[in-house]
Amino acid sequence: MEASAIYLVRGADETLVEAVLLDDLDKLHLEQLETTWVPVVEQVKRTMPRDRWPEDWHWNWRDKLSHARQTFGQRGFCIVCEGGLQGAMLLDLASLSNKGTRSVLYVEYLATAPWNRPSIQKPPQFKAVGVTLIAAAVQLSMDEGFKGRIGLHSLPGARKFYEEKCGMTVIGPDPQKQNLTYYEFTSEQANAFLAKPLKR
Amino acid sequence: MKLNLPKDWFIRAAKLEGDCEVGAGSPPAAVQSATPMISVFTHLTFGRLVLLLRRKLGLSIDQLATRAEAAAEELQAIEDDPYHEPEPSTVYGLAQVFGLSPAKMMQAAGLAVAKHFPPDQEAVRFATDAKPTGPLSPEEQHALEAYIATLLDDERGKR
Repeated sequence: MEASAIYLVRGADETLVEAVLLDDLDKLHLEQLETTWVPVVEQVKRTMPRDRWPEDWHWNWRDKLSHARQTFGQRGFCIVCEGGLQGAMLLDLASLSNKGTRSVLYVEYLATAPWNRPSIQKPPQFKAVGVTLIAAAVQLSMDEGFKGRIGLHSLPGARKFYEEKCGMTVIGPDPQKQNLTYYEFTSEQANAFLAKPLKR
Repeated sequence: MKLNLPKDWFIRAAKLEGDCEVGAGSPPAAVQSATPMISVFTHLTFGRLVLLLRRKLGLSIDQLATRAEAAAEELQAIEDDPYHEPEPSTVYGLAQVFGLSPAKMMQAAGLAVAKHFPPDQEAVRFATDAKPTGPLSPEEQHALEAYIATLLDDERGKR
């Protein structure tokens, strides 16, 4: 397991906070996710109408991790800050480009902790979690010879982020994935993203 | 893999990320059959309850299985796998061994609806990691007693 020193921004006072990006997602992280994220999601489901539930409320991370461990080319990443799990991501290095036009590193799942989502908590506890996970995917894509190219299916509520903020190329709705919109970073876009994040 | 970005990259990232959602992956329709997260947390909490009560009695999984007339594999799954749904007969057997109300144990296992389930905070405190064997630490003993007290509160209130 390799750790990278990163920073997040505390939502309450906009100060920089030291954090760690880990290129691993193990049993302890899973337990942390289940004991800290799930109760918050449960609370949201109890108190908010269905259309305001997090779009990933149903995700079964234990199954996802179990599948990832048995599947060639899948890698887990997470961000830890002040002892808490702030975001998690699963990547697929073997799923080569049947979605787009060239070989890409595919982002299977990406989620931030519920308290880092402005739709649940304002201000969020930490900002820049999602952007940093995308940066990690781009970096791994470069390391693995994909030249920074990544692909992902955005959840409906996140399209603005990938399209307008990240400036990813819209490939279009994917009928194989309930018409979720599929996006890709070209090599040039990925390099620009790491050099200076976000389009606007 | 090493990510090596300067401080100002993160400042810009946070500012420009704004109020956007960032999730990527599968939509709800794709996994309607998956175990809901709400059940996962209930099972996780119930697994911790069984584990701590078993250790309090100084029993191994096999010994508890014998006393509860349940399969050891089922008990292991209850303690280790929050996606495992406990069998009602096993929960009933466990209630007998632990001297707790079967109805309350069914509620704690997510097999019956509770009128006043223990508040989330209590369950969160309780559902922390625990060793599989050995006597209870003072913290574990306290967490166990507090959780059971909350679990039984509704029942006591009726008397």
